[in-house]
Amino acid sequence: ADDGIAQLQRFIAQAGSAEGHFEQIVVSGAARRPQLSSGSFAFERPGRFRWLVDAPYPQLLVSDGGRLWIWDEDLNQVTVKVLDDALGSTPAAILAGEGALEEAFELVDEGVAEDLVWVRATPRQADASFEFMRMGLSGDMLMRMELRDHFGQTTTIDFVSIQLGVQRAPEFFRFVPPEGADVIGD
Amino acid sequence: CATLAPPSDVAEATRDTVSAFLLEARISATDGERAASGRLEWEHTAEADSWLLFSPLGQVVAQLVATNAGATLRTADGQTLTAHSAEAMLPELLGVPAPADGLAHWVQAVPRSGARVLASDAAGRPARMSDAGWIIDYSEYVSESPDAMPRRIDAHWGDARIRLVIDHWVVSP
Repeated sequence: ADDGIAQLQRFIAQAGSAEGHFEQIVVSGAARRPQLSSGSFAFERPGRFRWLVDAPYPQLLVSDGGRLWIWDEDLNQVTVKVLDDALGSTPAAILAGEGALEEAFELVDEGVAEDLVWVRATPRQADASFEFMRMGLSGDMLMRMELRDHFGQTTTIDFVSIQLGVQRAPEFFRFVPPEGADVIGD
Repeated sequence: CATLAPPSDVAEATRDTVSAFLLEARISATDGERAASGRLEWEHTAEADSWLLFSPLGQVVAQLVATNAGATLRTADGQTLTAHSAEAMLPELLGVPAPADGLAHWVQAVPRSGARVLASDAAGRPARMSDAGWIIDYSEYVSESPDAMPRRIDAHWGDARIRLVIDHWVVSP
C-alpha cells in the first residue's frame, strides 16, 4: 500500500469538508474506567467544525474558525473560547486545520498494522496538549486517530463513517446560546 | 488541646463523610472572567486526593495529587508545580479559590464544622449550605434515599462559581 504520509496528504487535499459518525474510547494509564463516547462530526476547512457527542451525555462543540463554543445541556452552559489557543494541536485541528500538516506536525510513516496504514504526527509546538497522534488510513481515507497525552492517556477515535464534500450553510458552524443559558469565557 | 466538636445543628438526616470515593463529573468553574470547563475525575482517600481535569475535547489538562506531605500539580504542557497543600493549588486547577477540605465535604453534602445547612429537601438532605462564605446549592441527588450522593451542585461566592454534574460515584463507606 502507498505510504501513510502520501495517503494522509491526499485525504487532506480531498477532504475540504466532510461529515460522519465517530466512536471514541479514552484509556488511561491508571486503573480507571475507560471512557466511551460516540456522536457525529462535520468539518469544513479552514477551522470550521461541529463535534456532537450524544453518549454518555450530550455535549456540542462548534467552531466557526474564529471561536469555539462548548455547549453542555446539563450544565446549561456555553463556554466560548478563542479558537487558536483552544484548538491548538488537537484532533479537530487535523480535520479542520488550514496550514499544511507539516507546519504544525512532524510526520513519520509507521507502516501497516490492523490493515491500516499509519502515520505518527508529533506536534512541533513544545507546549502542545499531547505528546503525539497516530492516524490510520485506508484507501486515502482517515479511519482512526490515536492521541497520547502527557499523562499516559490514549484517546482513540474511530471514524465509523465519513462522507466527503458535504456543503453546509455558515450557520451550521456557528452556535447561538439558548435562552437562559450561562455564557462564559471570551 | 483538641477542641470538642460543637453540637452539630445539621438537618434531620444526619449524614457522614465516607472514607474514600471516586467521582466522575462535569465541571465548570469561573471567577467571573476566566472560565474552565471540562470533565473532572476525583479520587479521595484518607491518605490522598487526586484530581484529573479533562478538556471538553477529552485531553487531560492537569493533574493535582495531594497528600499530607504536600501537593503537586502537573499541567498538560509539562509544567510541574508543588505546594505544601492542595489549598494553594486548587485555584490553579479550577481557576477559583475553592477550599480543598471544604470541597470534599461539599460534594458529599455533609456540612463540616463551621458550615451550616440553611435548607433541607423532602428527604432531609441539604438543599442549601453555607461554608466559609460560599453558598452551596444541591438541586439534584443521585436517588431519593436520605444518604444518596449529590448529582448537581452549584457553589458560589461573589463572582466565583463552581458548577458540578456528577455522572458517576464509587463510594467506600
